Amino acid sequence: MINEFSERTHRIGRIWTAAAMGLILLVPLLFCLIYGVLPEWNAFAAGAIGIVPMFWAIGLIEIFNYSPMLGSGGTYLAFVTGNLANMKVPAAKVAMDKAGVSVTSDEGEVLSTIAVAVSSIVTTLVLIIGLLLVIPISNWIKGDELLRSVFDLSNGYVIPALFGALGVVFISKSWKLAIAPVVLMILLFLFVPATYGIASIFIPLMSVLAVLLARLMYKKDII
Amino acid sequence: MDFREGAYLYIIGVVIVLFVLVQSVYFLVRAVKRGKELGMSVKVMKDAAVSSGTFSIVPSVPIVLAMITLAATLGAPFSWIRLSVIGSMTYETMAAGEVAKAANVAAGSMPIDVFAAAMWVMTLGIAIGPIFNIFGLKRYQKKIADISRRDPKWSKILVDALFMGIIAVLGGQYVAKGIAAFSGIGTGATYVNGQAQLLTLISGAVLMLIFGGIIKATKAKWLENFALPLSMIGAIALSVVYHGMF
Repeated sequence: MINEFSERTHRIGRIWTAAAMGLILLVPLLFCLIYGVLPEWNAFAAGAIGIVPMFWAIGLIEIFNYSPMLGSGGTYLAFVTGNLANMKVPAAKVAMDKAGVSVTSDEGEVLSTIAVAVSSIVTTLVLIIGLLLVIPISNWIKGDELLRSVFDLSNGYVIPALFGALGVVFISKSWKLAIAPVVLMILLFLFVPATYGIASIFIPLMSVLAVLLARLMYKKDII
Repeated sequence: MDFREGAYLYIIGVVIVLFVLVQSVYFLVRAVKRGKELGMSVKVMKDAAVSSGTFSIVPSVPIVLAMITLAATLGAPFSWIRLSVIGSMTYETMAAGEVAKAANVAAGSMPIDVFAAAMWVMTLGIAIGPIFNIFGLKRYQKKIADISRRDPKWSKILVDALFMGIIAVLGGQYVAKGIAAFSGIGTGATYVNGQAQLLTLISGAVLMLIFGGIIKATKAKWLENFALPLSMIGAIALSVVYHGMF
């Protein structure tokens, strides 16, 4: 809902975001000033040309894809700390579904903001602890292959565990919406191995597909 | 002293992380205040906070490990900063790799000017999100609100459908890896830990269903907040067994 609170949320969100962006920019800027260096321009240019257009495309797509699920306050917050698909979006969705509110309602805006804020705080605190313990943790991991395997980001078991638990809840409630994208992705992964390397590109594609099919089913009263 | 572990990066890291915490607390307090104005029960808001908090603990652990991995290239403090703000291990590694390649050096031993170049590339790379939010988010959210006002039922379906993208890709990949690893269908790629990952995913699902059943049978509503993180932890514990089987 666009109302006075919402207007203020956008104003406040913009101010905090600008401040965050300023701070993030300050990191390399002060680094160069303090150490008296200029970035190696050729490397910068090559890196920027190779990386920035792709990151910008992905970043924009992420906003269009996720902000409908996060609400306004949640989006301003989430795009400062990141980790959206595997943490903040599910956290917000679970919180709102549990309370039975829609993200565009006033109550949904409250709950999604709470969920994203708490998620950001928890991750930030865990990372602080991780940094403080970085030397013991590194030694521990180096010595324990099992631990490393379990918590490895791509070959580990945290994300399968998460999406098993999360998936069963959502797929059982909305299997008509889930079936096409899930089956299609499984087939793609199975028969086009290159898909694994560019998996994140498929998230918005599958979202769009799911939305189009949902619209069809909605018009035909199937859902 | 290596510039990657110098005092500057630690100090600005602390500043940034404090900023993130203050911003989160500010929005949290503001949301709770608004919730009370709307007549929402404190319990509902507390439930959302507890559920989100407990949910986020376990998935944060791989991020710590990613931070440690990234630290080998970028040093601990900058890797800490990059993963505390928007940015992920995959993207930062890619960015560092591109810059190092262009300078003809190994990513792990970039001289200071190449390191500075990498810092700038990474910083620029993530800028689009915040920039769009400053200039375009309000208009986009207005459009979404309009859709919801015109047709609330469709709006809910729309959000659920959007979420299916995440489920299909992030969940589907492990189902596919498992099928490929167990049956040999599929072409080419190495499916590291595929069987164990699929079994872990199934375990997470089964545990969630079991918890759901327990909650229904015993009416233990308090368990609802913990079902998800407990199912995750249970599945991760089981993954140790599965990992040993293959």
